[in-house]
Amino acid sequence: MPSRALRHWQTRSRKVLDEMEAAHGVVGGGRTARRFARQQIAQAYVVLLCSQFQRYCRDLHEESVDRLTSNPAHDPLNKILRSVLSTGRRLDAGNASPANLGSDFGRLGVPFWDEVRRRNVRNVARQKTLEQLNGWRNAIAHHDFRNPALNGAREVTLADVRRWRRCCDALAVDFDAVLRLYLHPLLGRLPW
Amino acid sequence: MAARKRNRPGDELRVGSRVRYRMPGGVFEAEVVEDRGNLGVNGRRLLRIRPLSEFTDGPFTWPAEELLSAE
Repeated sequence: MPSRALRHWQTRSRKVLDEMEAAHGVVGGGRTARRFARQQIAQAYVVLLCSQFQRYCRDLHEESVDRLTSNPAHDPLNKILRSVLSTGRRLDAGNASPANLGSDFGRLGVPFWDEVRRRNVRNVARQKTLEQLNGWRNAIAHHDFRNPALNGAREVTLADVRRWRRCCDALAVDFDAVLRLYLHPLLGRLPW
Repeated sequence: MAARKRNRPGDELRVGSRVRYRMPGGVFEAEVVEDRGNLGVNGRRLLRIRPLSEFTDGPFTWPAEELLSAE
C-alpha cells in the first residue's frame, strides 16, 4: 500500500491539475487572445504543478518522520528527534528542487538521490527535468526569464508541462518506494 | 443514519490556537501555524507549531493528540 502522501498526490493533486488541463482546453476568443490566455494558463499550470509536488514531498517527509518517532518505547527521545527532524526544513521555504529534497530526506539518514537513481536508471534524467521545472517555476513566479537554463525561451507549452507532470508522477512513486524500503529495517515493519 | 464521527484528542485545535507541548525538559507553549492533515501513524493528525520561546527554533511538526490547549 502506498503512503498517504502518495495517495493524496494520485487523487487530490491529480484532480486539481486535471482542472487546469481542462481550463487550457476551453479557452475561446480570437487567435491572438486565445494564444495569450493559453500561455497564461500554461504558466499557472507550471506553478500549480510545482506547488502540488512540493506539498507531496512535504507530506512524505512528515509521514516518514512520524513513523520514525512513534515507537512508545523510545518516548522521550521521540520528541527530541521529531523536533530536530522537522525544524528548518528546506521544503518549508523553498522549492521541491533536487538539492532541497536531498537535504531534507538526507536528514533521515537515507542517501536520497543515490537510492532514487538506483531504483530506476531513468531517474537520472528525471532529476534534471525536475531542476528544469523549478527553473521555469522561478522564472514565472518572479517574472525573471534570465536563467541560462531556459535558453532564452519566455513561453512554455502545454506539452512541456505535461512532460514535467509525467516526470513528477514517476518520481513520486519512486520517492515513496525508496522511503518505504529505507524505513522498513529501521522500524522492523513496513511503514505503509 | 450515519454514525457520528468520534472526536479525537486535539481535534478542537485550529491554526492560531495556543497549545502546550511536552519535551523531556518541561512543558512549552506554542502556536499552531499549519494543519498538515491526517498524515501520521494510524491517520493521526499532524500540526505545525511555532514555539513561543525566543530560544527555540521552529516551526516543527507535532501530533495533535499530544498537544494540550493553552487557551
